[in-house]
Amino acid sequence: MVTLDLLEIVVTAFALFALSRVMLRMKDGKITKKEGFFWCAVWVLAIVLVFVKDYLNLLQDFISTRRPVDAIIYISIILLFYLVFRIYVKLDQMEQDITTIVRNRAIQRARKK
Amino acid sequence: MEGKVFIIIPAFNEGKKIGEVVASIRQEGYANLVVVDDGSKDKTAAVAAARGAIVLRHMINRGQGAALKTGIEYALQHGADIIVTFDADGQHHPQDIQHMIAPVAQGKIAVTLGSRFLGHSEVPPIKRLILKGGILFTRIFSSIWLTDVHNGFRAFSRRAAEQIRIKQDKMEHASEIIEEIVQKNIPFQEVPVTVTYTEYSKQRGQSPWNSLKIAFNLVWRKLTR
Ligand SMILES: Nc1nc2c(ncn2[C@@H]2O[C@H](COP(=O)(O)OP(=O)(O)O)[C@@H](O)[C@H]2O)c(=O)[nH]1
Ligand SMILES: [Mg+2]
Repeated sequence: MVTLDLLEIVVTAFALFALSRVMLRMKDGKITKKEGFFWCAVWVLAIVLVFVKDYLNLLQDFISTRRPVDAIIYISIILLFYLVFRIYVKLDQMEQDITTIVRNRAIQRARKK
Repeated sequence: MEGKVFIIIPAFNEGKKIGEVVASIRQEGYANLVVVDDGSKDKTAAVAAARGAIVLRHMINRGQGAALKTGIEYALQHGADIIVTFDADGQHHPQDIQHMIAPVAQGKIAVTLGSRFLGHSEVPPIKRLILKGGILFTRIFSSIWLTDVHNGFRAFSRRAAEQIRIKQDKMEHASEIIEEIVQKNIPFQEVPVTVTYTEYSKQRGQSPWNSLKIAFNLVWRKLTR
């Protein structure tokens, strides 16, 4: 029997959400396949760990209610990783967009003369 | 038959040298000179235009790779058959252009890459070390031994210019171009050229620190892009 406590549900839900985001990004080509697979692997692993955690003493320490503070820090770090990654992708995309605008303008202006 | 040749010169704050460079290339008989002024703070654009170059102006600095791509796109739109890239700081010699073009014009080879180590260049020791490092890096990164990998002197056939995708805006594009050539099996050849190191060019060239940054960025983007 699998019983889920609140924390497990939250972690799983978040991982699923993140997974869907990664797949969306991959679909519209904002990140490469390589990148996408990496992040898919990270989140799938997170979900798997939640369900097999009973067998993992280490994880039990982290996610069990005995040490809730550890669990919060643990999740925060994952969240931060994810946010930094998103910012990185967005920034890279933005840089490329700026270059495209600058380029098109340069070429258009030369044509007018 | 050479067809229509375009010379693309990316330039960033090269007002002191660009006039001379443009004039010397025109003297060799090349009429289609495109200077891509990459948001320079000096008179680069005005000087180049006064010497008869077509000037494309980036409003803000986007880097050498971005500037090259702008120039190449423009040249392709204007019917270029062969596209040559050339540095704005006076380190390259206009007399070498014909040697760079010849193999491409014959049609057997699609890209020529200028090599200062095949030619007679006096390269300062530290620069030499860094460039050799770049060569080794390219061996690992793109599985190919070249004699010179970070030379801005290149010639492309129209088809090669259309095939090669430059996505890196900054200096990383040099390695990117080589990777594209290897991956897409584009026939290429290295051609000896002379690269002159003057006080001016040494002051302004890429620093050792910057070279390390470029290598780091390349690896990082390869993993994440
Ligand atoms: N468009 C553009 N060109 C640049 C930029 N930085 C350097 N260049 C040009 O690229 C060429 C070679 O650059 P340089 O710094 O001398 O590289 P090095 O000779 O390999 O050390 C010169 O023609 C510069 O004007 C840049 O940010 N944008
Ligand atoms: Mg230079």
